[in-house]
Amino acid sequence: MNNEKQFPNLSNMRDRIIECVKCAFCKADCVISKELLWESASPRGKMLLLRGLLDGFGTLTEKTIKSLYNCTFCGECVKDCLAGISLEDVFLAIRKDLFNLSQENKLSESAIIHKVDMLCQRLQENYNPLGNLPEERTIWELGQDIKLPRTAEIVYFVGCMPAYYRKSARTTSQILKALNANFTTLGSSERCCGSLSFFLGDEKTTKELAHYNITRIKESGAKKVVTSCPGCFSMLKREYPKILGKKSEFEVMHISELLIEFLEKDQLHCKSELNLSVMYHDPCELTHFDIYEQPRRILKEIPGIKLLENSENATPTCCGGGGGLMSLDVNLSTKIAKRRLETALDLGAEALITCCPACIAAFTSAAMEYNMPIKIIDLLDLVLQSLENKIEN
Amino acid sequence: MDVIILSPLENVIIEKLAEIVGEQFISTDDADLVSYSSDFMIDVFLKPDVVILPENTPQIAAIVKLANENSIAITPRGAGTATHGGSIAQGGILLDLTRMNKIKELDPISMIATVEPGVVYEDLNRITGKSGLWFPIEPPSGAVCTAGGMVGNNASGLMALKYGTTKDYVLALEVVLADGSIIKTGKSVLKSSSGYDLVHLFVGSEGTLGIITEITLRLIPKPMHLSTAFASFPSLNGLNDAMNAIYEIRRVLTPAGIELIDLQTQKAINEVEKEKLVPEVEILVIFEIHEFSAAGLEDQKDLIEGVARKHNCNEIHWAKDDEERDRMWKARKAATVVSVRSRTSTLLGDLIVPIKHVPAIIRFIQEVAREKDLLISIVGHAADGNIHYLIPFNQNESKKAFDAGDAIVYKTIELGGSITAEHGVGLEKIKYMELEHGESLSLMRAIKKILDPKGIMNPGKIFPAEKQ
Ligand SMILES: Cc1cc2nc3c(=O)[nH]c(=O)nc-3n(C[C@H](O)[C@H](O)[C@H](O)COP(=O)(O)OP(=O)(O)OC[C@H]3O[C@@H](n4cnc5c(N)ncnc54)[C@H](O)[C@@H]3O)c2cc1C
Ligand code: SF4
Ligand code: SF4
Repeated sequence: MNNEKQFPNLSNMRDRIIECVKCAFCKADCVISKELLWESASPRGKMLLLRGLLDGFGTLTEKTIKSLYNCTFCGECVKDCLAGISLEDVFLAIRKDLFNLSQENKLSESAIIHKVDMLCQRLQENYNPLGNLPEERTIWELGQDIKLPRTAEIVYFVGCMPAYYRKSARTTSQILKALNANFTTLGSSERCCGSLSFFLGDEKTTKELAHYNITRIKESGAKKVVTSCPGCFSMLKREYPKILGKKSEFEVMHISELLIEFLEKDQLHCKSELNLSVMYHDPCELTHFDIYEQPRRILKEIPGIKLLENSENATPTCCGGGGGLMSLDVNLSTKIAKRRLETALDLGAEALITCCPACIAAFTSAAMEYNMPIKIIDLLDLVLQSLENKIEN
Repeated sequence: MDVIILSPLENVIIEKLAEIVGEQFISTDDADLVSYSSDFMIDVFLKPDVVILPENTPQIAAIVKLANENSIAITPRGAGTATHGGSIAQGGILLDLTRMNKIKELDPISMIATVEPGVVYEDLNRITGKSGLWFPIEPPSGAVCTAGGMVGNNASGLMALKYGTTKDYVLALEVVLADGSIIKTGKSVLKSSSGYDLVHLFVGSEGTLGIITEITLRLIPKPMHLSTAFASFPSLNGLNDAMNAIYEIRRVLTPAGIELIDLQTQKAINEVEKEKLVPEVEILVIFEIHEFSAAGLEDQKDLIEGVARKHNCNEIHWAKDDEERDRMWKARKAATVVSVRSRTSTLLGDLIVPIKHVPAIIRFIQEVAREKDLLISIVGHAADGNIHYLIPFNQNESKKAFDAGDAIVYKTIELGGSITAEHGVGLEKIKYMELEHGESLSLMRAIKKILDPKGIMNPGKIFPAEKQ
């Protein structure tokens, strides 16, 4: 039996699936595979499940569906695949097919699909995946001595987690202010970047959000868009041009890249001594753009920070929060985060530093749940604390 | 071997199995049956009836006992990177041993480690490395393959020339036999002449004689100075040039590894990696050398370079640093995978011939490729005579691909070689077992019958069906 009609997006990936020689190299650094052990949790196992679905020797059980959503889209398997297969594209294709099938009520018995539907619906209704009210998006601005112009050279695209959890948005804007950057935000007219709907296979919602946000950015007249969330960064930089079918009219930067620009112009001066041994955690979405060095360079600028590197190069590299996993299976996501924290503790770190709100959320809940003696700190908080000319709030 | 497979498994048995390992570690879900249905390269997809992830030896003993009483097939599996279907099961129980991944003891004084079968090769070396010790097999699949699977296949790898194969490091084993009894054979000592060597009966037995549940390994000091070179042999006679250089070098020193890659494979590597990882020449040879002193390393380099150049090597490039070394080996590790990407099926050969016949067998393979109009890529552990050939083919070419494979194997036997040097027999090479082993195959069968009278251990592997 051949199921190509049922899975049109997956069928387009048939050649990639056949190219898989089942060598299992992709398993070596997959955090899901390490955590769950079952072959169905490994990237190679998923490729086999997909081959089974296409060629009819596999069936769509609830565990098959769950396996296909057990992925953080960290991209480690892609880096390890000797056949050069972009597994993430394949895994996205099946998620699109599953989402479309669910819209036709064809998978109504699946608990996991029900969850996916709910999350996407929440996003469509509130323009954020957290279920908060859209009008509360600017709540982080309260009590801030920040008057933003209507148009500016830089738009700080705040993102849902920084906006609603407030701290990261406040820190970023205070840093930008301290550095005299000519910036503004989209205020209450910003909407979710669409990262969650993208990973959950909801193409329509993602497209709508991309169109909407791009229009607002254009209206702001900005030449540069800066994000503090690597998820937003990846959507704006890589996915929006693909979705809209044209090159971006503005430059998209992660805040760590912008800070390096200030550093190189000798405008970023970190002074206060902090005295902390830290491990830096690379958010997956930044590694996909080869942003490894920038955050480390910034850390090295902060007096008293001792950066411990994980030379063993063998431990899991993912926080467990990506690809929608934190929303779909918080237990699994937290276990993965715990493994990463154990690496930091083994290295002797007092704190794990990163610069992604999703990673911070995943690590914070793991540290709390497992009572781990380690601080989780946003790189931007460290920068702000040590800036000589910071604004006190 | 005639095998009785109860399929589908009765529910009552599944319930008993679940009692042994716990509900969480047993599955009959199609997601698990499908995801364990194949292994590296082979285009065969077979589903077991049930997959189990045991935690310890007593659990395995109880599972095997139950399987034996009910004549249920049982197939052990490590990472499933075997190339010939050795780790897949048509019905019965598939035992995934990756949960048993502890290093039970590391004795840095005696230089011995005792491990569970599911420990991953590179994880083991990461730990032993902290004591300056090393299990030096270096299979290209080392980031995922397990100690149990390596013993199951008697795996070797990129450094076999100097360090040998898995069998040279296994000192003792704990094995669950087909009736569920547990035996320990061998000791944590470097030599013994006490009775038959049962340890090495199990090494390379591909799960057909018992489930290995504990492995005691000899370790060696990890050399401090390493270097890797790409040596290019550009002339049309590059194969003879390269092999003559290798023969001459081998008579005076033993490099850790000498690998050979043909032009077709070099091109495929560069294409997939989207950067020029390897030069493109008639024959590319990789030299790996290990030493305990920097001066010794330099001496080896000089010697290799001098001999290679004498045999028309026009460029020899030694890695500048570890990063470059890693890139070079990445290219070699990719070699078996990249050349078969655009095919629907692949035949992967693992022959070994006396090293004086390496040029003859390679020429023969090239001739077969021309005659049958097939693209056959060749990579090999050239200096020990172990050559891998890959025949990618589409459905309509399957007959000529298999005919080509047969012709190459017959030639291998004619040259005094063996059908498989390190990957094992599995499913794919069964048809050649009689040819290679003749009468001694009966003795192998007899041993199998004594240890596994009902034929429940990894059935359908190694042995051709007995003639009625
Ligand atoms: C890219 C690539 C390159 C490779 N190159 C090489 C190479 O150069 N040299 C080489 O030797 N191999 C090579 N291999 C093959 C393979 O990786 C090795 O043979 C490896 O040792 C198999 O380990 P595994 O854990 O995957 O075992 P599996 O594939 O899971 O099992 C191998 C065999 O051992 C049996 N087995 C597994 N565990 C046990 C146990 N506990 N008790 C009893 N029997 C058991 C299985 O039933 C099976 O028959 C390569 C594989 C790949 C993917
Ligand atoms: S993207 Fe990451 S989590 Fe997903 S399969 Fe690949 S390695 Fe595993
Ligand atoms: S590494 Fe690539 S080729 Fe190998 S099993 Fe994974 S997806 Fe398949």
